[in-house]
Amino acid sequence: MKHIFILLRRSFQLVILIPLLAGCWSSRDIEKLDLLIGVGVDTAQEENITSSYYGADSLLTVTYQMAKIKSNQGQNTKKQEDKPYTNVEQTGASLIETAREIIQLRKNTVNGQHQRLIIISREVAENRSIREILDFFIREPEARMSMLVMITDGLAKDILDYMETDDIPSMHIYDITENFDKSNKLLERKSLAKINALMEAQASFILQNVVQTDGELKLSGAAVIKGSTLKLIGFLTEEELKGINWITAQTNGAIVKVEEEGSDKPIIYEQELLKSKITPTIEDDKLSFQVKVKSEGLIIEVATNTESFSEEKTRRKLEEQIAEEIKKEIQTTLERIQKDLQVDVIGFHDYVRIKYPEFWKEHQSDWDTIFSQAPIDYEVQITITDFGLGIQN
Amino acid sequence: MHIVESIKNFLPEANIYVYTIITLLVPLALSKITGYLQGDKEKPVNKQQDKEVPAILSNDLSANIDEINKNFGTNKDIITRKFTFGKEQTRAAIIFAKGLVDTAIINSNILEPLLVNLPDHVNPPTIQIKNLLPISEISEENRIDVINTSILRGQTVLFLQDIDYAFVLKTSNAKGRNLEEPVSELQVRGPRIGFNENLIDNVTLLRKAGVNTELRFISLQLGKRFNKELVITYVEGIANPEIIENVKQKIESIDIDNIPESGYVEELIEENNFSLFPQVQSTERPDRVVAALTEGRIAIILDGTPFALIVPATINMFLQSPEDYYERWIAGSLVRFLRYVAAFIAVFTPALYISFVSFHQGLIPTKLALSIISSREGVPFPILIEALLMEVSIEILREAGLRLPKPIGQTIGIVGGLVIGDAAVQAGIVSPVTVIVVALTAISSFSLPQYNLSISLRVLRFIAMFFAATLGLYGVIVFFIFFSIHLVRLKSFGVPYLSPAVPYQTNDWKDFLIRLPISAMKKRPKIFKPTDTIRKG
Repeated sequence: MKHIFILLRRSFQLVILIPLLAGCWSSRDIEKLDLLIGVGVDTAQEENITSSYYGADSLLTVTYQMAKIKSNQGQNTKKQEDKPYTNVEQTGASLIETAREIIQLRKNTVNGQHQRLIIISREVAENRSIREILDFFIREPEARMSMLVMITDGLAKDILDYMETDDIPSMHIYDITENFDKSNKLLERKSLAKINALMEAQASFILQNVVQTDGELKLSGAAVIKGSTLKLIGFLTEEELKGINWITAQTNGAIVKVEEEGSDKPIIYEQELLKSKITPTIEDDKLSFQVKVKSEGLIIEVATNTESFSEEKTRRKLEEQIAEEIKKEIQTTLERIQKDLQVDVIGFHDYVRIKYPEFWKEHQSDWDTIFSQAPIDYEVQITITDFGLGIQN
Repeated sequence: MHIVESIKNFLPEANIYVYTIITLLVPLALSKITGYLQGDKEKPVNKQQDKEVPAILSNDLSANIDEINKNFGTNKDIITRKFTFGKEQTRAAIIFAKGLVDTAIINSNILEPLLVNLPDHVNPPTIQIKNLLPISEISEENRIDVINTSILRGQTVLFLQDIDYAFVLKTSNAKGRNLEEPVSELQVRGPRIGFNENLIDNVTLLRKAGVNTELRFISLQLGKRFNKELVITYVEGIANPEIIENVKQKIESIDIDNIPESGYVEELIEENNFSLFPQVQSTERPDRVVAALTEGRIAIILDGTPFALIVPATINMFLQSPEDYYERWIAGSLVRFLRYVAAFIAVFTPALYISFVSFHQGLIPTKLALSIISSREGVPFPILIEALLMEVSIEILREAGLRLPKPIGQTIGIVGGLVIGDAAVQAGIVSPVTVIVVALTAISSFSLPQYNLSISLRVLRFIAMFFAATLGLYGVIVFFIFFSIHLVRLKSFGVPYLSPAVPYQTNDWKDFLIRLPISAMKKRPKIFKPTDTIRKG
């Protein structure tokens, strides 16, 4: 009897060891991988269409950008002009089809775990629901939800083929977005995870626009996606983006230029701290919003004599001037999104949903219309904390 | 017929039966093998031997001498010196082992008093012999086997006519090494003295640690053929009597012909022979031994080796250095914590490297991934082979450097380092990142203060690497769990090996991962159940 128990025990130990015998089934050496860094989606160009079994309209040209590895061995012998990336373009009706095509082209397996970026061209985003494009990346287990989604008003493959950087363009763009804290002309990072949530909520949102101007890659303005159709309906300029950033208070980096009274010399205010508060109110079934923006900062550059700054009165006046300037920026933006585009891209709906859940449930479906009619009051409060060292008493 | 056919279809094919039988046989064989390997441990140790009646001396002097000489045969180094002394010309003889005795003592303290300066009134001198010879230790003995061993220990045995016992006189001259700084445990601050091969010297070193009337030395004899002395030492009033008894029993049950080094004792008294972890601490440093004794541990010192053993051992002992306590506590804590980190690195770095690089490429930061790829470009081996190649060559290098004479050892280190570090990378056989990982591992394992733990961790590292290569990070975690289970189960003389982590003793954590100031450590470690728990205050 005892022997049987021992036997059972040993067998059990063996069972535990069985997984080890299977061995290495998902092991793949890192040098046998092509790291996918970015993906660009364009509509198919005519020269790429070989067989149009889906009709030419429905075909996509997808650019896969992969890191090209320069061997460490024997440095200095190869030409330095080698691009650090390889772009593979494939045309097909769906993303997975184009992705599978790569297998026939590359000796290494494509690994999507390092993908940073999806760039969708304007043409694609205007004609297709953006979900169609992103769905593959949401479902694919290898893809990370932290990748950023961007729109370009040109061709995505041109952006990815940008030659000037010694870095991979996708990485380059990804790294630029890290600066959004320092400039209010940039949009906060929109990862796939965030966009997925917004798409689920059928909310409208904006995506960073990336352009190529004068041979430089630039993050400039934003693309507006309407929640109900998930299609691109327009672009916001850099200036309009500023207004959005004042309301959402996501970024601290902003400068405001005002002109000194009596002369047209500029005085520039640099913001150090930004807070905002959005309060929805319903009176008589009418929705309105109050936005309070508080900003603290310092005078960073002046072109005139600075003597009078230390006086309380001058300071007050300057603060008001700056506030006015900011209000103007906010107003421009609100007009654009409320009157022109008629979509809530700032996220006012969240405040309504939290404060008036009943109202929200009732009007959820036509939210963009309600938003575009809702009056928005805004208040800007500026505090100048510092004038730098340029003060003489 | 139909039924038979369907049953036949239902039964699996013949090869399935073969597989089944093999699968059954493997565990059976395993159990047989392990049973066989552990077999002699489980046998009862209390073998009742019928002890023969020991031979004793007779009244006849020449018969006694013959008897002793018969035992030693034709050995040239056993000297028998016969003489007569006193008025009555009493016949006598001394027997001693040349080389083991101090001839000057024999000449001046035995022969001179008897042959030259013997007072006339002493006659017959047998009764007063103890008063005649200026020798510090004199005992009477009539058992021949004891006399034999005494001679071999460097004592001189004096036989007199007409009495049936002999005098055992202490004349031993143990030539030992000088007390030097221990080579295997160097430190910047602290006493520069280590044990040597002489038991008496070693015991003296412990005595010199401070006047303590409670320091106990229990002497035991070990080895059936090459008999040696072994001393168990502890502090009465601190050490738990149960543990003392346990240690004593285990040592007494050792039944072996020869014990060349305390490593033998270590292996024969440890609880789990199959564990990779040292369950007995060995040290050359008296200060370490004294510190352990005051914690309530027990030390074992064997004649002929500078390595004293300390039991019960817990894992934290192997990561501590006496220097932690000699330097200020914050610095000491940092260094000690660093050692724990180093131990982790020494075991897991190559395994983690392998699993990240060949399984979880997504977990490496992109830029690092790119540089790893570019460094591995052109390397012909898979990552496991590459890492093994490097690890094995560095182990060989270490072993080679160890065995060679000092100056050559250093040269080998440099040459090997160059070959492995630079040439192999240049030749494209290994990638630079692997070299970094392996070097980091090697350095980490050198930073452990106790050599025996660092050997154990080397073995573990290879196991971890295989786990990583087969199952990736999952395998590393499985390995970690296996190894934790083993550590939790392991005990050294009834004391859990992982204490004070498991079982958790809050108070003992003051001196575990970090070292708190001495003023905070008021109590002795609880886990040894010391009889006196208060250390200070």
